[in-house]
Amino acid sequence: MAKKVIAEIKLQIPAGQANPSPPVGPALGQRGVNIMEFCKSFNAATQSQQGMVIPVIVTVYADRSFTFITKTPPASDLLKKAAGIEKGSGEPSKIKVGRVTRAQIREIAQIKLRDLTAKDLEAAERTVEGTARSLGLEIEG
Amino acid sequence: MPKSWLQLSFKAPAPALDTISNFLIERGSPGVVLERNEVRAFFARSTKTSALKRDIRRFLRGIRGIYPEIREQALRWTALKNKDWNNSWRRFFSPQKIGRYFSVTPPWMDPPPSRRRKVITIEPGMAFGTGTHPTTRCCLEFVEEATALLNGEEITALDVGTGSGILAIALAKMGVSKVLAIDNDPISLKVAQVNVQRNRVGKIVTLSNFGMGRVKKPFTIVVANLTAETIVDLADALKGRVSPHGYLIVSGILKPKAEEVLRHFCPGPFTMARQANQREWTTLLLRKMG
Repeated sequence: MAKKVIAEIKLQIPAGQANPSPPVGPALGQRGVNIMEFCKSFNAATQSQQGMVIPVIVTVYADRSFTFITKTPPASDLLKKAAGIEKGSGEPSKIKVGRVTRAQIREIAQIKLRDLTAKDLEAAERTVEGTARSLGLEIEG
Repeated sequence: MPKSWLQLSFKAPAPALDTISNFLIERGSPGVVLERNEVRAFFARSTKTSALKRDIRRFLRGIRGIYPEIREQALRWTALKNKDWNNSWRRFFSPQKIGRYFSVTPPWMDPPPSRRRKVITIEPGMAFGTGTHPTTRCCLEFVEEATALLNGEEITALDVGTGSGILAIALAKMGVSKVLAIDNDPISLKVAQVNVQRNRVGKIVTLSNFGMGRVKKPFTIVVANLTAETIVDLADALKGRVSPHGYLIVSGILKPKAEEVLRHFCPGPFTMARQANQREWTTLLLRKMG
């Protein structure tokens, strides 16, 4: 059908845990999106990724119908998993909380390449490296 | 659920949004909204708010060595009362009178009683066709018109790109004996299935993921609320699926493209019965010659 887009809303929500509270409720409710339907569909689509945060783009059409697409987990989540840590550092310049290797950085950059604005793998690696440092991770190699 | 929330919003450079979002979620925000390099996070109001504010400032100062574009800036904190978000979105929908015979309503409301109007109940959701869009409204009006013009004949209909199923349901409610509603989107088909059942027209409407190539027989009415480009692509198939003296309703056409679409159908096997323009959209009702 004739779909005119009136809004694109980008969210990051833990997999399988969308509910009508913030951020979903205020962000989608003001656009007239059926919140329970979004939550049910998002939770069903991401239930196998429990424990990860999932970026999602919700497209709202002129008649307030909507679709959404989920993206790969954020680099920060992938880095924490690679380093085997639960949380990043609150003071990343002073307190280091773990290590990742260059190979792990490259692997994550490859996963994230299609979702990042980086123009090539090298640029994506630099972005992931920055994220690693800002989490308080040291880079080996 | 907390009684009230604090909403935090501030600008940040794109490469830093990932790590900032991670930090805010780790500190208790149940997710974030990212909009044009602005991040919005939400925290349940508690006695620990000043410690949270201090932590966030310290973190942002700490990553300035990696992302020098992060400047000392005012973090905007606003109070957010708990609302019934689960239902607040519903204010955008109300019963709509469309044409002479239809009332389209969301399932949580009753349209004003009317002996003449046929009620179509549509749950707004993940399929286009909630009844509020000009193309849907014009198609509904032309469904009324085409069925009235064919009065007395047995009518069959094809709905191409059914979305929520609204037009297929309308056709069934106008007395069409069989409606085939097709869509290549599995989510739309699921939504349409629910709407067809809700409107009790399951015996008349058949939903299918068939492409136009797999639809072989002709129908008295064919309705295609798509886009100008898709209608042009499907023009030959659409022409072939309308029976002689039958009607084709095409919509989803931006006004400047109406002439181009029309050229694929008239002159030729079709004549134009009516054209409706609403906002930037055009809908055509075409009659096939015998």
